[in-house]
Amino acid sequence: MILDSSLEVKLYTKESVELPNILKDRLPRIQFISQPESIDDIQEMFSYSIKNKLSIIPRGAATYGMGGIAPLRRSIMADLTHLNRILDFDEKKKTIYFEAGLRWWDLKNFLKNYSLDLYTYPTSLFSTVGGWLSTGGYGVNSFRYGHISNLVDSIEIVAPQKKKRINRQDREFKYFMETEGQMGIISKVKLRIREAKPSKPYLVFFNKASEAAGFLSEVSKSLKTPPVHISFFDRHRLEHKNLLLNGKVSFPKMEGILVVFEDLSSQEAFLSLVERKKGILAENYLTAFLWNERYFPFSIKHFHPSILGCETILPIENLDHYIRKTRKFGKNYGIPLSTEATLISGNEAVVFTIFPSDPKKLIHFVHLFLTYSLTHIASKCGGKPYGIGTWNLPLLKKKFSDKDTKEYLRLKKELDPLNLLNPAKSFSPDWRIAYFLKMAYSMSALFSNGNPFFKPFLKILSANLEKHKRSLLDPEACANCGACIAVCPAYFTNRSEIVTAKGKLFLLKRLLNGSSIPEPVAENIFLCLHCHLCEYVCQSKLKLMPVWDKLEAIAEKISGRPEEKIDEFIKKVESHPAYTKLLDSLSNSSNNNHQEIKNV
Amino acid sequence: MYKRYHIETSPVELSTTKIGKFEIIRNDSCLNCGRCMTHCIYDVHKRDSDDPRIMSDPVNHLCKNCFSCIQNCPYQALEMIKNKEFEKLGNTYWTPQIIHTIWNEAEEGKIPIFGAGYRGPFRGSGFDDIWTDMSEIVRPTRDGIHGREYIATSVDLGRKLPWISDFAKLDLTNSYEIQIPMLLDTSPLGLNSRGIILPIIKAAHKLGTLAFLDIENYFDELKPYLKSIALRCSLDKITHLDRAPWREANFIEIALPQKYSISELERVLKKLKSENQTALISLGLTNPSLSAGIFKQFKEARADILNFYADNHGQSFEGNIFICESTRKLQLDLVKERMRDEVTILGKGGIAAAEHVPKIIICGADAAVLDLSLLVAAGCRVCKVCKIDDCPVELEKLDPEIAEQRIINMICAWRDQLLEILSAMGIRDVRRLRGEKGRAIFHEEIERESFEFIFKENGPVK
Repeated sequence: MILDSSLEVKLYTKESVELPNILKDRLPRIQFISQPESIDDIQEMFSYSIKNKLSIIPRGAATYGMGGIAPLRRSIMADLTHLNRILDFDEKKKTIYFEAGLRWWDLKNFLKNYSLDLYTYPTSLFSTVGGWLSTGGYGVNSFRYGHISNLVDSIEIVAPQKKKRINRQDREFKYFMETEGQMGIISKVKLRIREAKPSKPYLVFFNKASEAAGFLSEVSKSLKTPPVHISFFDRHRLEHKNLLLNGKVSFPKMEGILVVFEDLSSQEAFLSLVERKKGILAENYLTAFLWNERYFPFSIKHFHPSILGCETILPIENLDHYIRKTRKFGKNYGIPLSTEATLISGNEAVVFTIFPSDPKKLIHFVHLFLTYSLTHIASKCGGKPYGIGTWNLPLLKKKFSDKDTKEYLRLKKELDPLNLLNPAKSFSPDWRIAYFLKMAYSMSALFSNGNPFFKPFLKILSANLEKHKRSLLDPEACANCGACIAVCPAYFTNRSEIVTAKGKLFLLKRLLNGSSIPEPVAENIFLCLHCHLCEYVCQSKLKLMPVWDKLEAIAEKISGRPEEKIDEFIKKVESHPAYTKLLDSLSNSSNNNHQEIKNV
Repeated sequence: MYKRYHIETSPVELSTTKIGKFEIIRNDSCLNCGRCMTHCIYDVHKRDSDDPRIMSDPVNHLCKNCFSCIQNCPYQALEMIKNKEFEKLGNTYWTPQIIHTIWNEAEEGKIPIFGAGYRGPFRGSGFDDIWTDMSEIVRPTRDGIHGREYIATSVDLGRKLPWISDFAKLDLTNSYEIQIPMLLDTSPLGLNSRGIILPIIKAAHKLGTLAFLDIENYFDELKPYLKSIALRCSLDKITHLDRAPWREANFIEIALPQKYSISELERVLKKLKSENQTALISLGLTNPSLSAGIFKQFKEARADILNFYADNHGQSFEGNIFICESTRKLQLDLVKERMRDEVTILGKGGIAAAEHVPKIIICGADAAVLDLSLLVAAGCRVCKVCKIDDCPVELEKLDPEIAEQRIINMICAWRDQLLEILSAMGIRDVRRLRGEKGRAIFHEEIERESFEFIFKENGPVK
């Protein structure tokens, strides 16, 4: 299927962190969205793009946030989420073979029927498998099981010149991980899976970040049977979570460490370690809540129009130092920083420092700039960038060594000599963009130590940020995480994200800005079963149902109420196999009494 | 030309009887996915007519308690509770279930379904003390109750002579055939509104049976239906026997008060016979034991029919005996006197469900008289205290045509159930069911037979 309306193109290029409009409008255009459903479709797309001199931007669920799908050349966007069939499933050998556009959530649901589970999965459970392999790879349970690539048996890639199956043992394998689709489109994946196990989370509080960091390094090394997941939440991050609680219970103003076990044989050793380190165990409710919140990394979006931040891989021993530095930095510039870290080994953690911003305000530009300053702080603490995308192009050398880069380039030439795939990113940077960003990055270093000239100026500008409370109809609150797409009945029948919650909030934003939307698009707004599922899975925990009522009232003025279209939609959706499958999986999980991914 | 007896039904809905046994609650987590709708075969779940994207509230009164929607809901958005409104209906005899069943029958004219099985109890008091034997389930049900093998439900009212001794002296009294073993009564609960009387009489007319009417409630509009009216008057109030409508009536009933003089009764009967030679004459009794004087009246061929009155709970006004027991006693007494065929026995009061009709017939009645059940068919809730000016269903204002059709529907459903029972018993004529005690097990009796020898020394088992 091809989606080519300008609205759809705009919607599909949205990412969880958005560029300011001024920059966005300057980017080259995406001609249309292609939705390949088979390898043949992809190859056809390649030959079309060669003929028409267009590049191709592979896209999963667009949850990356680093500008991985920012179009830096005139291109076609390949929406790979429809390449999502499960091809083979070996219950005995515990492997599953599927097309890479499959969402982790769907995969997890499928496995649940057989009492099986994933070893590790991203916190953005609604992203695609191929997407995570190409961009991130560290998530829940990464402490025990490491990078997702350790659990992949083989992948198949489609590049303009080649179609290839690559095993994990192959030398080339690593060049397809975290390279944002520049080397080829990952089309199929064979993944190792395991039996489902109950997990037992513990949340331990510490008064000081240094104590917490000390505990972290011990708990990650000393236990005989290590935990599966360890993450650190600083006191400000926990405060964010307090906003979501009902007020009767709340997280104390302390640093928290979440340790999750699947095997309890080292439980006693762990508890005595907690005692020795003077940690305080949290109540079960808070622990369970925080553990469930792993599915809602963007819940803070509910309270702020935009969240900016920096994500780096940091040595654990420097974590304490890093936190002290960032706190000072935040204090200097009056921005409320909060930090979360997920351990990926005994030595390293993915550290995520965020702060609220508002893209409607001028200060947003300064804030974008400040994220670079934060990256500076991280790299002074020995940090490496987690993802490159567009934003982190200046940090390219920190991620890939010269030797690696050479190898990457050689392979790239072999697979994609015309540079069709995701061009102007890490392996073929556009010099204008690269220089612009590099300049910005080096300038931002000036801020990282608290420049006395900018300090008071910035403090005034960001003074009222914390108090920002959102109104009912603020479409900015959408984190563009795509969770709603996976569960939207209208999406099953219509296949365009414009009918989903994400799309509708995008339309609402346009309407509120005074621009109009064409009649057929307005009609699509009515294709909604009011099933609330978008609300249940919403990462920003938005109250969406009243918004739809208001949006429909607006749309009715544009297109009238398309009664026939609605009837047809209902008939279609009631018998739609994919929707039936979704309902079945919901009913399975609710019967098993552990309905995951539901807003509390 | 031969025409098979058939009752014409048509569905009649009444907004006031939509009180279901259960209440299905659709909570906020409903996905509007429509699964409940595809699984419900009773149309409880539907999409909203204004906005089909949303499920409308469940139509509770249609629910048959099958739990299909609840089991198939993918998001556990449905729950079922007992309906409090339902529990408030009726009283201990006219239970909510009985009223609800009659409503269903009156609405559709079909045999009602009770979902999710019957959990018991398997015996009770009154009619529930009798188990009917329906062992011959195979034979006549081959093509259903309306199949080729016709089962007759008509009964004869009036006397059958044991023999004819003198043709010249042959009594002019005819026996009168009604098509169903059910007669209707126009004044249940003592209501005498024309809005209720007219539909009952018209229904009786259409059904080919009779409806009892107290003479003081007679009005000229009823004249066309006079052939279907059983005129009734209390013995102490009966006057103008030489005038219409007494002289034209087909069926006359004299209700006997608790105390009356036999000579007065004789006088009235004589006078009636001389004024209207063809009418069937019935005596309405409140006391189940027959006095010698009453027997004499039947022997002398003055009266033909005996209608035994009980209250709405089936209890006799004198002696507190249940209608089944008193009917059985009457039957036995008449058989002993060797005059059972010279008397028709009717039973009135407490006939509240379809199965009560064959049961009272098994006890010895020729036909049953329906009273309160007709009002229930028209929408009555059998309130604890009936206040006609403050009626929750405004019976007085009910459209007579709706009431008529609902009564017809209910009787059709009752007749169909009677046919089912007859066919399961292998009986092809309801006349043959009369007094067929062998077709039923009386629980109290069987208990006594089984256990008396154990408990004999301690006195009789009650």
